[in-house]
Order: sequence, then structure tokens, then C-alpha cells
Amino acid sequence: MIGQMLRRRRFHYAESERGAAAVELAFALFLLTIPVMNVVDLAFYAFTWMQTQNAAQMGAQAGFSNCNTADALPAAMRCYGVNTSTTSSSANNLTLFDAVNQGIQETALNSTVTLVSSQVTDGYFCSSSANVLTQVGTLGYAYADAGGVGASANTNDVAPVGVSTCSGFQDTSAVPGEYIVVNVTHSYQSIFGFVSVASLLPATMTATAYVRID
Amino acid sequence: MTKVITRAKSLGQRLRNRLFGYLPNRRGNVAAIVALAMVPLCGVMGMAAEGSNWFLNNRAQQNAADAAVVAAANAGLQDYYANCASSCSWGSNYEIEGKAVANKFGYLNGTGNVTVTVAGPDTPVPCPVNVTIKIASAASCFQVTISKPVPLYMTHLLGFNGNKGTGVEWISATAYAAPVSEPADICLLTLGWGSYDHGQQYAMQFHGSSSINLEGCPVGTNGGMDCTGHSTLNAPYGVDGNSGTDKKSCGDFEYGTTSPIADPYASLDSSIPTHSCSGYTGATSVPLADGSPTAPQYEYVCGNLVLGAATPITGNEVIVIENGSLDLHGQQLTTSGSGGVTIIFTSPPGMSPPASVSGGGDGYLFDSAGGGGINISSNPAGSGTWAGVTVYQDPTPWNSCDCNALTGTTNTTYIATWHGNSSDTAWSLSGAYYLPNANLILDGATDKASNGYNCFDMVVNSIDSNGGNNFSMFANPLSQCGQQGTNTPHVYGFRYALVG
Repeated sequence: MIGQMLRRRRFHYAESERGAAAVELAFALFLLTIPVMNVVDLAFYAFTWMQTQNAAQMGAQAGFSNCNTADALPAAMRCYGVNTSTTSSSANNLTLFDAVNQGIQETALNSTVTLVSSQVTDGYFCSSSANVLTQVGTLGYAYADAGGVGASANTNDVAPVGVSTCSGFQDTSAVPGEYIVVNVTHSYQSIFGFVSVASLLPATMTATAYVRID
Repeated sequence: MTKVITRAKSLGQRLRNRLFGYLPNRRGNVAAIVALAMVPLCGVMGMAAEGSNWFLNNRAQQNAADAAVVAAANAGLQDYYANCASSCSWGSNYEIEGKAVANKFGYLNGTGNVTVTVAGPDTPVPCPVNVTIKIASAASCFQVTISKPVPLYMTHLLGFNGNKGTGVEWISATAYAAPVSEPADICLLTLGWGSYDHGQQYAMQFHGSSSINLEGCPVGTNGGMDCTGHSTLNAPYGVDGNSGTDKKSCGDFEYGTTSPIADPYASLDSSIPTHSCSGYTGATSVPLADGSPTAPQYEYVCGNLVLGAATPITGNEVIVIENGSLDLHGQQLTTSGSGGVTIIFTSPPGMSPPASVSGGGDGYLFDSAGGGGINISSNPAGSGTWAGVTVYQDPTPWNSCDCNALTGTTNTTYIATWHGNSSDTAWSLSGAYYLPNANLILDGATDKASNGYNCFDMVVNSIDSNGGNNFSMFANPLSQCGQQGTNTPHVYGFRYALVG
């Protein structure tokens, strides 16, 4: 008796078209959701990549601003501390490292974007007529690890380690420019996980920015 | 034939019945609607992705342009100063430097239809904001523009032909570097008003084997400077306010300005309070300010002030010494807490040069007995006219006379010596020292005042160091002049910065 009732009800639902549209819409939305999630995730991936590039640029510009003051020039002598951090809260006495690091982490990615190897590269570059920028020297260790802006420097260590002129480049009389190179990294977390194509893309984003500080 | 016609009619009837039979049928209608909606949906998503790509490209190009213009400006400025030895010009390196940096960001001029243009002040390029600068030929900007075409996809299907109608979207980013008129402070300024002592040719001379350390203490002069053979001066830069014609190796960088460096303290002359002295017998002490009111307490001394006891100043005080000197006489003159002092050497109007006072001189600060010390900070910022000024020599009465004005040790020869810490006298000072008629020999180490900031700025007639003298300054002597309240001498415009 009960079995007969159930069978009758089942066949009744099979013949009924009520709610079919809702079921079809649910299927369609389900199928549509996946590409939409992919679009959102890919767009966010691209946006995050752009923010990572921007963080590198902001770090470089913060380093430039820190060194581009009267008491911090010439930068090789008076604006250094590439690999050191200061505990001073004075904005006027930041090391180059601190200035760059603050510039990076004050962007939208905050502390999730970091300096590669926790350091800023400082060196001397020359440019050629083929528009190629080539590193020709490095900053002396004394500067790299000395204090912040205006800290005492040893004048015996002024010269860059490497060549002192751009001989062989576009202008033999030109002096190599001092650049800082800021490499940053950020780890991207896919929003929708394995459903999204973005999860197949490299999760570690890196960006590099150059700025001439002197 | 009739059979064929009949069959055809039957087929048409069946087709019509099936077609119209779907009309009331609701099965599968959502799928059809979704399929139809997918077309515009995909189109919109495609356009959104394409538009986003333009923004991505634009942001990347802007980063490259920013870095390129900074590099170009730095290279140009470097050449400018280097070329100024003969004829000031910006050279051509800046264009190559800017393009090379753009290449580092992946934008190589001429490759993949990428265009990188670099323009300098010699073009000239108008700046996007109103900035002023006081170095010649630098009143315009550096500019870098990076352009790159991006192919059109979905938007092209909808008839969009690019922003220039060429079938591609041209993405362009421009960056400017403008000369910034940020003041560059000067720690030691020689005015070169009057004649010099010691056979000096220039108002600022560092010669011989003396050891001078002016780390963080830029120097400037309106009477020429010569530090030839003196590689240890260690000043960040030297500024010659005499058109740059008399600068010789003073400072790690040397600059010339087309007009004299302004004297920011000369105008305080009119603020020296008037006071009538019935005679110039002098004093051994002055009443000390009680507490630390905002407005300083004025005390007047007619003749020499020869300290008879230690003088600790805890309030804010202005000591006006008329026709006399301040002799520590083996005593300590100190400020502490929030206290500060301004010592003014002056003479009544019409008495020029000052009357000769027995046992003293014309506005000296010295220690006749030895063993004394001075540890004073200026009146604090916000305390009024004399805020930031520690010692002020009235420029008027001594003007045009060869009056030396300051010594840190026993003065018997009338050669003014800024004598820093030594075995007999300790000098610790924060604030401004305005001695426009003093011809100084720098000697000894100078510390900052115990209750003062890292601030020391000195304006004198001339400075000499002719061997045998060692002089050094406490660290970063200009770093806290804002807190100290000094009106430090300065010049403008050495650098370029991103703008716009």
C-alpha cells in the first residue's frame, strides 16, 4: 500500500513541470559561477601583481626621498644603512633600509609584501647609448651598514667599489650614478582555491624597482 | 503530382504544429535564456578584462617613467654642476640615462612600438606645478613619457578602433621631476663685511695641517672661501655667495649662488631694547629669571659682566651688556631644564665704536681666570624675538671697525679664538651665535648644551684656521634647529624631485 503511494507520487513529480525553471536556473547559475569565480580571481591576481609592483616602486621612491635632502647628500657618504635598521623614531634619521621598508609596507599590501632577502641593493650604474643600464660598482661595506642620514662616515671609504667613471659607456667623463634596487615579494592566496585557474599561476609574486639616488 | 503536393502540405502542417507546439512548452526555457545572455555577459567580461589590462599597462609604465625621470634629472644635474666649471649646460647624458632606466622596467625605446621620450630643462619643459628655484637655467622640469600600443580584442568587435583610431589602444604615462626650492641650511656662515685678520685673503680659510671635522655642518660665505689642501673639512657642502667665483674645495659639494647668502639675523638689530646707563662700572652678577615663563626676562649690564659666582639659569633670560664683555672669570654659566639665555653685546645709539672699558673689551666672551665653563642653550622656540639666539653681537656700533668679538680663553692679543673644550674652559652650546664683526680662529671641540638640541649655527665676519688648530663639532649640528628655534641661514634649490 505504502509502496504504491510512493510510486504514484514519484511518477506524479516526474510528469510535473512546476519548479523546472528554478532547477534549470540553479544548474545554469552553477555552471556560470565557475567562470565568474575565475574572472574574479584572475582579476584579483592581476590587481595584486600590480600592487606588488607598486610597492617596489613606492619603496624605491621612499629611499630616494630619504636621501634627496641637503644633509643626506652625497648619498654614498650621508644616506646609507642599506642593511641596517634603526630604533630611532625620528623620521629625519631613518636608515635607507628603514625608509625603503616603510615605503613598501605603507602600500595596500601592508606587511604581506617584503624585501627579498630583507635587504636593499645599493650600487653604481652606467648607461650606454643602446639604452642599457649596467652595474659597474658596489657601495662600500662601511656605508652599507652604517647609520642613517647624517651619521658619521669614514671619508676614506667614499669611493665606490668598482669603477669610478663610465669609461666605455656613452660618456667617458660621466660618473656612475648611485642607484638603489628594490626587490619585493608577495605571496598570493587564491580566493577560490582549486576551482580557479589563478591557483595554477605562480603564487609568489616578485617585482623590482630602480631609482637613482645620487 | 497531387500526391506530392499533399505530402508537402502534410509536412508543412506537421512542422507548423511542432513549432507552435513548443510555444506553450516551458521545459528548457531557462537554458535558452542563459545561452542568449551568455553572449553579452561574455562580451562585458571581455571588455572589463581588456580595460583592466589598459590600467595594468598604464600603472607599469608610470612606475617606469617615474624611475626614469628621477635618473635623468640626477644625471642632468650632475652634468650641470660638472659643466659649470666652464659653461653651465645639462649635457646629453640625461636622455640616455632616462631611457636606460625605462629599459630596466621593460620599455626599450624603439622596440615593440614602445616610445620613450626624455626631455630636459634645455628643451625647455614646463613644470606641471608652480615651483621656484634659484639656480640659473633650471627653471623648468625634466620629463619622461612612455607610450606603448596595446592590441584591441573585444572592444574592437564592438567597433572601437582605439584612442587614436589606429586599431590599437595607445597607453601613455608621463612623469616630471621639478627643481625643488627646499632650503639647504648653512651651519657656518662668513659674511665678509669688514677687513680680515691674520692676512686672510678670503672670509673663510682652512689651511695648513689643522684637523677640522665639520661633519653635518655645511659652510657658506659671502667673502670667498679657500680650503685648498684641506681634505678633512668633511662639510657636506660649501656655498659661495659671491657668484661662485671664490670657492676652492670647501665641502664635499661646492655651489655658487648668484646673490649673496642672506643674513637672517641682521634685522634683529632693531629689536635690541633701549636702555640708559649712567656709567659703565660693570657687574659681577645679574638677577636670574625665576621659573620658565614664555616671555624672557631682560637684564641689563652697563660695562663688563665679570662673573663672581656660578650662574645657573633655569628660566628664560636675555642679558643685555652695553659697552662691555662677558668674563666667566673661572665660573660656570649654565642653563638647565627649560631655561635659556640670550646674551646681547651692544652699545647705546650714537656711541660707535663703543667706549673703551677698562679690563674688558668691545663685546668679548672669554674666561680671564681659566677653569670656567659655559653650557648654555638659547631661549626656547616660541619664547619671542630672541628665541634660538644664544649670543648676539649688535652689528651696528662695531661696524666698519676691526673689532674682534669673541674668545673662549684669556684674551690678551685681541685675536679672537673660538676655543672649544680644553683643559681650562669647557664649551657646550646650542643655538645661534651671531658675531658679524668677529674674525675667528676655530679651535677645540664644541659640544651641545646639556639642555639644548643638536643645533649650532654661527655667523661671523671671517673664519681662519692656519694650522695647529683642531676644531670639531657635535654630531648633526643642524638636525634639531627646528626645535631649537633658530632662523638658520640657508640657500635654495639643489635637487630635483618627482612632481605632478
